[in-house]
Amino acid sequence: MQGPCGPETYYQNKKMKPELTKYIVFSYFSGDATPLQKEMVLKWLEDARNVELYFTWLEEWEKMHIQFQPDPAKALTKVKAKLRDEEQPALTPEPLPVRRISRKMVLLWAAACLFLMSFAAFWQRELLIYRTYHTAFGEQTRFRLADGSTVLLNANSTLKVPRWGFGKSTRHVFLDGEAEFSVQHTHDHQYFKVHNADRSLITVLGTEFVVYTRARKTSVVLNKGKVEISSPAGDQPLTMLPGDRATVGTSGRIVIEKLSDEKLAEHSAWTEHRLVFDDTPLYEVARRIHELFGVEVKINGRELAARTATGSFPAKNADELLSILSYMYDFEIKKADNKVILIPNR
Amino acid sequence: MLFLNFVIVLNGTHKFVELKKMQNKTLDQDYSNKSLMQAESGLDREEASDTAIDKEFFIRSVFQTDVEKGYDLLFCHYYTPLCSHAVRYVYSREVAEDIVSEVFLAFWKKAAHIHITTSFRAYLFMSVRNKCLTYLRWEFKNEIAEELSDTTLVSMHMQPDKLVEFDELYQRIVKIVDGLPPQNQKVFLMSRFNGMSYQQIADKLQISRKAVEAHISKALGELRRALGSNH
Repeated sequence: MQGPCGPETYYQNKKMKPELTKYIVFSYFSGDATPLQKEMVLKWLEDARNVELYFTWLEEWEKMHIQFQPDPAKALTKVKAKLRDEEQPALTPEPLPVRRISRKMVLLWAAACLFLMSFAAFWQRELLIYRTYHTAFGEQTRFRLADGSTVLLNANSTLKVPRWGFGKSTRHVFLDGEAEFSVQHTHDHQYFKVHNADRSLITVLGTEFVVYTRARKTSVVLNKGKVEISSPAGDQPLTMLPGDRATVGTSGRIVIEKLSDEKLAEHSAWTEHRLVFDDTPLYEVARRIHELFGVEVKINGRELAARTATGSFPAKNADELLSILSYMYDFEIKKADNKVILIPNR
Repeated sequence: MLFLNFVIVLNGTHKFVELKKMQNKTLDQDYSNKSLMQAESGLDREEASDTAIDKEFFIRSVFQTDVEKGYDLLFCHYYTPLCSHAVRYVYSREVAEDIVSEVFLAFWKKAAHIHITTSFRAYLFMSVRNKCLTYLRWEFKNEIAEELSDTTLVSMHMQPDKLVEFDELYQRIVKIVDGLPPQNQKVFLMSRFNGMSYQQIADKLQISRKAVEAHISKALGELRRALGSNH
């Protein structure tokens, strides 16, 4: 057992076999120790507590046998300068290694993006400028516009409404199909204009009317108020009165006629999911079914096609309407992918 | 008053003024001042190892209150003996100073004063020895050794046989250099230790440049042979 081994302890502790003195260790450092003394040092170092003493003596020995006289002050200044240099970037953290992009490249990319965006905007300008309401076959939607006017859109119809400034600077809407308008009168008496599919135009202040407009024909039925109708054919705009029906044919000529109350109701029947026919030939009915429900109806035989239908029919879907008609006109219904063929019974 | 002089030289005159002012200030500073004086008087004592222990203790206590000041003290106290030790291995004044400076640099960067388990003295000596060995391997054997972590450094180099091995290494190098023929040794030391250029040596010794080169390569060859055999 070795005690804490200061030099004094060594002198006191005579039980220790090898008497290791500082002078032996010093001569060992100098390389003058005998092999036996070296062995003693090795043994002595086996006690971990002596290792610290070893370094203490090493320092002391070095101080007694200085090899050269360096300048610690100069060295310290150098080390501190180096530390400062290395700490500087640490204090102001360097921007993460982001790829440096030249200003030119940024501009180039910005220009490219702008070009693409404007191209896309131009290409999709309809989407950007107009909000489009569209109904599928057999579907009806009622909605309110920004100016407070309400629209009931019949099946397979499209209404385009400007997204920006509607009700403030303009009240233009674009219709393809069938719709019932209930137009709100504005304080500044702003016109509400319906651009129809055949490019005829309805100008309103505040009123209720039903419009049917497809490329081949437009008909407007006025329930309330006053409406002006014009067509691209260049006729003078005609003014409609309540209960009037205006029809714009393919020629662009506008015909206005006064409707009876019953007839008037017929034009609004679709708003209650009914269809009203009055001496309407079946081919016309077939076209109407196609328009509203997307079902193509073919009629076999001129005779059948020419027969006329009269009455009010439930019109939630094409099947219902056709089955009633088949019963009435004695024909058979044959279905072939989204096509219905009406075959007269012999 | 040797040590006090060091401090003053190092930190410039303003520090000196500070020292003067400090005398009437806080207890801490008062204490450190006293310790400074104690350490001074310690140098005069016969038992120098006690002084060394005191100095280590004193530096540690300064580290607790003022790390930077502690670092300055540590540097000034150990720089010279560490350089002296390093030069026994590398035989170049410049390299030795670089190695010691690097060790101190790493000491600061790692904040070694917080986590080392040995005395500062043991840590510094072991680090210097380790760097010297790395340097020698690089110079004479073209080996690139990895830097040891502090824990490996302590656990490995505290082993008695490792310590003795290191002692034997520098002793062997001394013997090799000592054993060189006088002129050869002279040229070698002028070139390597003093960092003189071949031309300067040639001029000073009035020999040809070629002869200087031959001397150097012979000395280095001796060292390479001696170091390569065992390491």
